[in-house]
Amino acid sequence: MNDAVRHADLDLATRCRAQEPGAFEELYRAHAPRLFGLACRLVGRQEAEDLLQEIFLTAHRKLGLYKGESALGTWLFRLATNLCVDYLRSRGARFSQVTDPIDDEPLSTTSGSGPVLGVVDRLDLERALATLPPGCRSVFVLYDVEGFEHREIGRMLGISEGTSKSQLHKARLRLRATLAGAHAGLQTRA
Amino acid sequence: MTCEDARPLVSALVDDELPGADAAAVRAHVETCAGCRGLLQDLQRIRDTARSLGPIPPPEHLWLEVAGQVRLGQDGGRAPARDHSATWQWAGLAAAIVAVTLGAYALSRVTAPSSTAAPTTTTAATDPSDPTARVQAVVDELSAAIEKAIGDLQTLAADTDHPAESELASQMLASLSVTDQAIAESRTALRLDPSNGPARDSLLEALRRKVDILQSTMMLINDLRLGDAEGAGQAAGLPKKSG
Repeated sequence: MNDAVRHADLDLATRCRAQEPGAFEELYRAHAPRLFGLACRLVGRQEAEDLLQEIFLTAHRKLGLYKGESALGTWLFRLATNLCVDYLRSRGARFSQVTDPIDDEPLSTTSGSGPVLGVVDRLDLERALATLPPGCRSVFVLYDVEGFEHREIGRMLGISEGTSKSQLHKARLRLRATLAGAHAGLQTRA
Repeated sequence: MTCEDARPLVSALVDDELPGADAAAVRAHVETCAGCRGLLQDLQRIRDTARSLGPIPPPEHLWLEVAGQVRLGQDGGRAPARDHSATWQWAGLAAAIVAVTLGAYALSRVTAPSSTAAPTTTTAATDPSDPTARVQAVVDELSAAIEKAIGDLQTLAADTDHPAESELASQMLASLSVTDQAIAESRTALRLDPSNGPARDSLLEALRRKVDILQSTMMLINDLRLGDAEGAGQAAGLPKKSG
């Protein structure tokens, strides 16, 4: 983080704490779309609306703890991730659970020759993502969409680096199977 | 290397995370195996598309709700003790909150497979043995309570002598329409199948969202009436007035 960004972030945080008119809205407008995207993909759109409010209310309360060690966006992102993960845990999600009865299904049903997907449409991927179990969905979102490393994801979700890698592999295989099914369905209807 | 050996490593190969020898072995296998080569290509496509997924703009009413709650938090969870006689009591909103709470219970009873008569306050003449009619009656009652609260807000927007209140009320009325489509779709689905659980949940969630927005509106308008015009206006994102 360069000095100019750090200075701007600290200035905005200070103005928010001082309740300067417009400051908190500036913070919200700058960061809400990325945090809402994260929450939608981790917990689903309907719950994401409630969580986004909780994220910014928590941020408003905790801004005094922000000392500029990281970018304000990074600080907010970690806070948002923690709240989403806590929410998923409260709903019974087990991030370390990498096996269940349908784990091997994608391998056996898509082991023919050649690729089974064409160009992967973003909307199709968003829909397929929503069908994943919370554990592997969280790892996929944090690794493939948000660009975190397995070590960081392990820390955030309370799992080992190896489990994070396994969950990512499962997630991708399941997405492939789901997208291939949708693709085949379209071809059948055409 | 066999397919069984190679497939668990393909994801790591996509991410360039395999040690050199393993990576070389998987690549050599993929060269000769169309199935594993297809898997590699598909996983690369999924990863590339995932990396292109961007931010999602939240609906505008969420900012209004956050701003309202921040204002409430700054007041220590209650309105300042100034001219309380000026605050807007808004009985219509209280009725809407009660109706949604009762309605959630009533709908769950109506749509349960072995339900008995739902304890709703509906006065509509319905056949108690017809679940479709009973669901319809509960939904009509919920919608009427919320429409009454919205009507109060429209009256306020039209009658108030204070431009800031009128502007705030008009802005909130626009936000209230965001759930209209979800409500219409859920009502249609429930009309076709009164036991449709997801449609019922979606309807109640959309109605609850409307009540949340109405609550935020009431709080912000009361901020205005208690003399904190700048704070309420700023919380709702209204332009600052001079003079």
